Amino acid sequence: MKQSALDIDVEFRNVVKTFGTITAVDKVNFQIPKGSFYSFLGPSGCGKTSSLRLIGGFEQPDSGEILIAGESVAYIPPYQRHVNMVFQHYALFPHMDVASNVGYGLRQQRPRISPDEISKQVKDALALVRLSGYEKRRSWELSGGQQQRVALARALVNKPTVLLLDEPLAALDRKLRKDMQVELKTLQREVGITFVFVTHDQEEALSMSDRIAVMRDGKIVQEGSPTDLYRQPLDRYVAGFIGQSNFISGEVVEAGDQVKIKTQRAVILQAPKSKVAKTLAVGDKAVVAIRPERINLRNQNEAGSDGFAGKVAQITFLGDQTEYHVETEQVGRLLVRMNSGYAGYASGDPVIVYWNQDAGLALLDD
Amino acid sequence: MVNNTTHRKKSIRTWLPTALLLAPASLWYLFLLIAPLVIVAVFSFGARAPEGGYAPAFTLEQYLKLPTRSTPFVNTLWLASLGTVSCILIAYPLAYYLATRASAKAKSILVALIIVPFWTSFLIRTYAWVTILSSRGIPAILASLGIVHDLVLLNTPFAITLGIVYNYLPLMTFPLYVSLERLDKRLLEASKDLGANRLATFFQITLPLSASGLITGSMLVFILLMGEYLIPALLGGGKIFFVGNALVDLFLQSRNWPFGSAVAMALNFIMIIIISVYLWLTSRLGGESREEVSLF
Repeated sequence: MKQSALDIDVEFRNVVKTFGTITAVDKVNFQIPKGSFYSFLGPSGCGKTSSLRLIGGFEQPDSGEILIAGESVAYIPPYQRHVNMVFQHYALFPHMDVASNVGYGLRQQRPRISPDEISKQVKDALALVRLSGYEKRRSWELSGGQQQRVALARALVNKPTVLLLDEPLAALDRKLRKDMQVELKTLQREVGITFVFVTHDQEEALSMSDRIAVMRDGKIVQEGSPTDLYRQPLDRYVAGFIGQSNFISGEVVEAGDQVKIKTQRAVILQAPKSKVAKTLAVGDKAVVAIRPERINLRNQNEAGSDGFAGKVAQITFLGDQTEYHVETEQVGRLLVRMNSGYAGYASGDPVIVYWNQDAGLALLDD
Repeated sequence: MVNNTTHRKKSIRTWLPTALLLAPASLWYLFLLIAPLVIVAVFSFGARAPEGGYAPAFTLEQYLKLPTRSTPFVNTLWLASLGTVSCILIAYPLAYYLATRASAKAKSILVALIIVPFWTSFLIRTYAWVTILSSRGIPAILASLGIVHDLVLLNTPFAITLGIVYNYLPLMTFPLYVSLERLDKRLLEASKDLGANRLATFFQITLPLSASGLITGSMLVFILLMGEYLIPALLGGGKIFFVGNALVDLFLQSRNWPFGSAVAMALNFIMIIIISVYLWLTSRLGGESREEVSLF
């Protein structure tokens, strides 16, 4: 994965940022490829917003180096960086109409841009976010989604090297958020600018990103494409944060590419090791992680030798899919997600849960 | 019919508490503001009785004499403007510091320091400055240090301006502080993010968004200064005549009540113009800033 410096838009080298006694960003390293949609994902306080503000220049690192388009940006103030930000609550200027908001960045440029040229570029930017004709509106006359678009246009009109987005969809309702996810991704492809996106919503990150950095306590735990992170999580934290997983914990009794784990109930489970994880040693505390959609159910009287007997404890109907919470004697409570077409189990039904050996993943417990 | 009586009962039920709630203030204003104002208005069209006071008449004579008293009006407008601008120049940095940079502790100490002088009466505070500025005060200290000799501070426009700023600064500081405090700091970051440096951000974001506080503070100071009497009398030594001083003179010394009334009416008229400008300015601010502290 060696890339030349020219293909990298943002790079952190051992960046540290502390606030008082809290280390918000702890020796972080990453490279964001040019033209990619890159997300920082993690719970609040994991350092994702601090990383974004470091790129924007609103914070200075205590140590380490930040490079934008291959050049160190130490002590370069925000107004001299070719980086623009879409703020969490949009931060539109309340005393200006939409056109003045969008044209603000252009009006700061020296040598001056002619007013005609500015209004032309503002018009194009508003067309890009599908807000043509809204030039004279005031920000408080707009819906949340429209304010969001104005904030996007205001940033994009400056043609930044990197666009930073700080949880821009958090304030929108679910339906609108879904639409904006698609729209943001489309927009990013269209303009070809590197997007750096911060979110705590794994679904958002998975659906839009080319690459995701999962953060925890100021560190990047794992970085990769959405499919890599979903299929080959590094540890229990990533597996639990990206998508849903069932975890059956135990102790490693046989290491290797196929790991055997002995659970508290003395059941031996076999699962492949995550390709990116460190090797597990005999005696390590580990978990078998299984995605709910990889587990199957069958009636207890149906043929089959593998699996564990249990009882359906709870059913959640999701429309196209149905979730069954199955209480088993040997491996505890498991979440099983099946297409609703297969349905037919009722609460209290005795069932057998089973899965292919390669459906699980052996991960280090934490 | 039945509907009508219940309706009437209801209207009394809502009407009576409203009347009771408003009665004390209404009576107060009626007898102590409206009635005197009417009397002054009537007097202003009258004539001076030979022994002083008011003699019934209907003449515009008093108003036609107004230009002879233009000096106090010019002085008042000039010093009220100077005082307001001085207050802005000193209060804005202070309010800005309080709202954006001061720690919670520094903030409470500074706010207390601004308020504490007001525990003493206005008259005593202003009188204290007479002593400080008189020839035995600061000029004497400077002379004994051999820096400046024969410095005159008291009874100068400088002394009046100093008295104005000293007494009126909080009226400017607090509205400014409130509007700057309410200013969303993310807007400043957004401005810098879009390429505006500190100075450009100040003039394009901070100043326009604190305009409501600036206008409110200016009006509070300016309107009160238009009626100021004590500061020019004590610190200006009566040399610089304000409208307030002219009024006291006309009513108490020369006992020319009708002319004094005409001067008072002229002052009211100027005030109404200024307040109209204020209302027009605040209505132009529009939108979110319209909800902010307003004088009226």
